[in-house]
Parts: sequence; C-alpha cells; structure tokens
Amino acid sequence: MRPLDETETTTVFEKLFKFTGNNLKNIVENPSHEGPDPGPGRYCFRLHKNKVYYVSESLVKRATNIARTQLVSLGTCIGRFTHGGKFHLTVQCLSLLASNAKHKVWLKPTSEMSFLYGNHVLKGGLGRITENIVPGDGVVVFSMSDVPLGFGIAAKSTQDCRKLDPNGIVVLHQTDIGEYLRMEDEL
Amino acid sequence: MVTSPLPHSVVPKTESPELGCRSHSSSSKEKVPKDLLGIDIRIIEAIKAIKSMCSMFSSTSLVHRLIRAHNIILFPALLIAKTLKRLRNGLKRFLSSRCLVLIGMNLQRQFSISLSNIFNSATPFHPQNLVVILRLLQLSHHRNLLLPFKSRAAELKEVAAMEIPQQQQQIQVDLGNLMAFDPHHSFPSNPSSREELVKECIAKGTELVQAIANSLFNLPSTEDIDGPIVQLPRPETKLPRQKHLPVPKPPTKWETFAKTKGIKNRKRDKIAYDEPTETWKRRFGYDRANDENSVPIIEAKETDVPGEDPFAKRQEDKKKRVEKQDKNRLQNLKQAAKVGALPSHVQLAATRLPITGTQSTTKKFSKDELGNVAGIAATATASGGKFDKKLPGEKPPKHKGKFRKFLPVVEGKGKHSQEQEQTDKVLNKLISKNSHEIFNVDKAVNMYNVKKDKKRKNKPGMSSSTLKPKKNIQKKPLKKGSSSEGKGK
Repeated sequence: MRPLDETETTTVFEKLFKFTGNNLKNIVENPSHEGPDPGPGRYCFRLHKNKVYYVSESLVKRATNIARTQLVSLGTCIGRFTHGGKFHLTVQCLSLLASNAKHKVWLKPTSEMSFLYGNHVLKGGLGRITENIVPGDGVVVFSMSDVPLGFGIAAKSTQDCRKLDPNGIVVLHQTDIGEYLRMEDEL
Repeated sequence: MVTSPLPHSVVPKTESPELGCRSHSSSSKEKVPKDLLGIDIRIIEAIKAIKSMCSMFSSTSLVHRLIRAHNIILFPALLIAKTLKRLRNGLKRFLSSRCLVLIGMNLQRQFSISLSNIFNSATPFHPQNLVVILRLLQLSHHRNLLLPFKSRAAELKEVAAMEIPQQQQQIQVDLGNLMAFDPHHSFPSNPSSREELVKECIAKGTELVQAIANSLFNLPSTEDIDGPIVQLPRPETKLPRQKHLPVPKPPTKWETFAKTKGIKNRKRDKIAYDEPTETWKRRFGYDRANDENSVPIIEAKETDVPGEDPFAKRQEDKKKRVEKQDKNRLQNLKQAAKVGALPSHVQLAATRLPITGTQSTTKKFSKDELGNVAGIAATATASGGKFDKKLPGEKPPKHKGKFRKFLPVVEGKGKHSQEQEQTDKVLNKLISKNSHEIFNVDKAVNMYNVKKDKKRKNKPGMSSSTLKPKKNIQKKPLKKGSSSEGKGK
C-alpha cells in the first residue's frame, strides 16, 4: 500500500474527470467522519497490488498494522492499473461516480436488464439523457427510479441522439452492477 | 647527364651542413597523411613558384636545421621551399612522409587548366605548391608534358650559359624524376656563419634547377597552343621503398606434399562434359557438370549398408569434406601468421579467426567503465561509501538505477501533508486545463430553443388531450435532472 505518485494521480484523476467534471473536487475534498478522531478527516487514494483504493485517512492509519502481503483490500476499490500503465475504473466506484456524475443517462425499465447483462445502451432503451454530452465523455447510467446501474462512454452527442435510429448505440458499456454476479471472483 | 642512384644511407646525419647543395628527390608510393591531401593545391601558384624560383632565394636560415632534423636528401626545389618559415610545420610533415606521388595525382586531376594562363597570373608563392608542381612534371613523363616556358626559355638558356658552363657537365640529371645531383661538389671551406651557408646552398640549388631546366629544353618538343610539349624519359633513379618487401607466403601443407611427390598443378578446362544431359557444362558452380545432387536415382551397390539413405550420406560426406577443407585452410593460415605473411585480406579479420591462438583479444576497459567499477567498489561498504576517504580525482558514484521515492503512507497530524499538496496540484492542473469550455454554444442554443418552445406552447393554450398525460409523466424526472430533455416516446 502506498500513495500514488504524480503520474499515477494524474491518470486516475483524468479518468475520474471524464465522468465527474469539476465535481472531482468534491470527491477529493470529501470529509470523512470515520475513526476516533473528533474532527473530520479526509479521503485519499492508495495503491495496493495494482488496485487503487479510495480510503479515509484514519482507515489508512489503521491498515498500516497489516502487512502488505496480508492486506487484501481497504476502503473502496475504484479501479486498477493495467500492466501497460492505464487506469480502468471498476464497478465499486459506481456510487462515487453516481453521486458526482456530470453526464447521466436514464434507462427505460425494459432495457435495464439488457444493460445489466453487459450490453451497450441503445437509443431505443434511452429514457432520458442530460444535455451537452460530447462523444467520448464518461456517462453514468441510471434506471428510471434513479438507481445507478453502471457507467460507460458516450458514443453520440445529445444532439445526435435525437435523430438516431432506435438501434443505434448511445452509450458504450464499460461496467454495470451485473458484474457483481458475473465477475464475482475478479472483483 | 646520367644520374646515379643515391641511397639514403649515403648521406649520414653529420654531413648535413653540406647537404644543402646535394639534390635528390625522395618519394615513394606510400600512404599520404590526410592533412596533406586536404591542402588546397593551386596550380596557378605552383607554376608561379617555378617561374620565380631563381629569383626568390631569400632568407634560408632554416634549411640547415631542417635537414639535420629529418636526415633527408632534398630536392633543390624542396630545399627552397623549406626555407619559408611560416609553412615550416606543414612542410616538416610533408617531407618526413615523403609522399609526393599522391599529391601529384591529385594535381593531375586539376591539370586541365591551361598552363599558359596560369603562368602569367601573379599570385603569392607557397612552397608546398612548388614541390607539387615539380612532382607533377615528373609524373607526366608517360604523357605529353606541357611546357609553358616559351617566353622564358631563351632567357633561361642565356643565364645557364653565363653562369654555369662547367658544372653542368658534372651534374647528373635524371629527367624522369626531374632530379639533378652534383656528385663532385664540396665546400671549399667550412662556412663561417649560418647565413653564409644558406646563401651557398641556395646558389648551388639554383644551379641544379637550372641544369634540369636546360636539359628539359634540350628534349625534342612538339608545338601546341599552350606551348612546346616534351616527352619525359623514364626515371632512372631507383627510389627506395619505405616499407620492407612483403614476406613470401610459406607453402601450404598440400604444396609441400605435392612438391615432395612431384605433383604438378595442371589446368583443367572450365567446361566439362555432362553425361546425364549429354551437354557441356561448367565444371563448378551452379548447374555444373556431373552434379551429384542432381542425380535422381542412385544404383544400389553390394557395399551399401541396408537402412542407410544414400542421398543423405552423400550430403553428409560433402559437408565433412567442406569442414575438412576449412580446417586445413585455417591451419595453413596459422602457419602463415607465424611467419608474418598473412594475406592482406585476412589480416584485418585475423583476430576473428582461430589463427592467432588466443581467440578473444584482451578487452581494453574504457575510462568510463573503469570509473563505474571504481564507483561500485567505493560504495560497497556498509555505509554506501559515505564515510570513506575520497581518492584524489575520484568522482561521486553515479546512480544508474532508478530510485523511486514515494510519499509516506501515513503522515503525522501536525505536518503539512505532501500528498494533499500533490493531489491539489494535479487537480488544479486538470481543472484549469478543461476550464476553457466555459461558454458552451450548444447549450446556449438549446436553452434558447427550449424557451421559445415554452413560449409557443403557452400562447395558444390548446394542447391536445393526448399530450397532457405524457407531459405529466415526464415532468417528474425532469425536476431532478436540472435541465434534461424528454426523450420518451
């Protein structure tokens, strides 16, 4: 377990920035009320075995008691670094993203299941969409009842979505909460 | 007018003061130092130099010293050239390498310039050029030589006739080398001062050059636009080699064997008769006559071992023969290397071949490598060399490896958090990088359109009954998403 160095921080933040925009500040400066300390602490990012964890500082302090080899996980895993040095977000960071998302998409109840099985979001299944989405932006996918289902990358801008045919892909699937079942071992 | 070859050894060092008057060109076909080839030789200046040769003998204080230093027998022109002080160093190298030939060849290329034009131009004199032009004249003995001395010829002859009628008989001239030598000369008395000696030397040098010039104009000449052309005779003086004669190659093992047995090498035709195709083919190489490999069927013999592939055996045999020959070759080369008679094409690669005995030449360590090793040795202590005494001139060890430093996992409370600083820095950078998208045109247009739509909807007030329920359904989620657009169908 170690703090991220500068390049790693940059890659992580850039990825998060895609989804949250300027709300990233909220994530970084989020006060934590864990631990015995009377005042609010902070959250920080820690790298452990290629995975990046979003942990409160008080938890980090206590985790130092555990040897590196023994430590399995701490806080919330938000993603992992690939061997090539890229950063991939995982499902666990969904709640973090959902609360700070800049671009959102709501799915019709009929297409929810399809998305949860790992399919892309089609125009036909689109309930609502926020404005000003540019292709390539990170988009958080919600159900109509505002339950976060997953996230992905916008394939079309909001404007283009209007004219799109119902089978056109609007959001490219990255992760969804179905992975908790499908990829239980890997998470 | 016959020259006698004058070997170098004839003139020892001690004799050098008198050398100034002796004339002898020293040159051989050895390599030329690069700096000499780089000298920009201008024929113009060279020719001019010859022209002014007789008149330009001025300060020649260096002659004596130079001669003694190099133990060289000098061409008279060279002698003069050497006296020029400012080119002394270049000349020294020039003379010591005794390589006029290549320069002459260099000049040949440039020789297409009309000499008569050159002769009339007035440019400053360079001793190197003087040397060069003389050599050039010598080189051209096999071709026609241009002699643009026409205007001066008569003049020169007169001078010669006046000054040196008797000596000329004694002087031996080798016209092929454009060289003159006076074997009978001796100083009447030891010159008192250096200047006097120089003067005398130059006077004698003049005589010698004059002798050459005279005999040159006595040669049968043909007229040309540029002047009379003469054919130089072959050079008579044998100039010594710089390097030894190559050592004869020792006979190979086969050659010695053949000699004892009396086997003589007989030439065979390049072409041989090929029986299977009934044609004539080359004896060796591709598509050769009686090629074993091209035989499709091999007849079985009684001696054949059952289970053995005759084709494979042939190939194997061939391979063995080639290997054996290679071994023999290396053995012979080894013998040659012992005598020092390796052929030139092998010499460079000799260290790569298993000839010299030691296959790997001892590697020389570079300064950097040694420094690195020293650095490693110096830091191989418990303290990493921190408390060791530094040797004079020892540099601090360079860390080649990467030492990654991470921030501490946990920082104390009172401390200013480095990690926080870092994240803030990265965050600010990221936000400022993306802050240029403050005004979003699309968004503005959208908002404008939506407003317009609303106005239009409000004005008529005649929304259809089918629309209304739909609107209500959509309104609910709209409250949450601040500005979202109904997409439901």
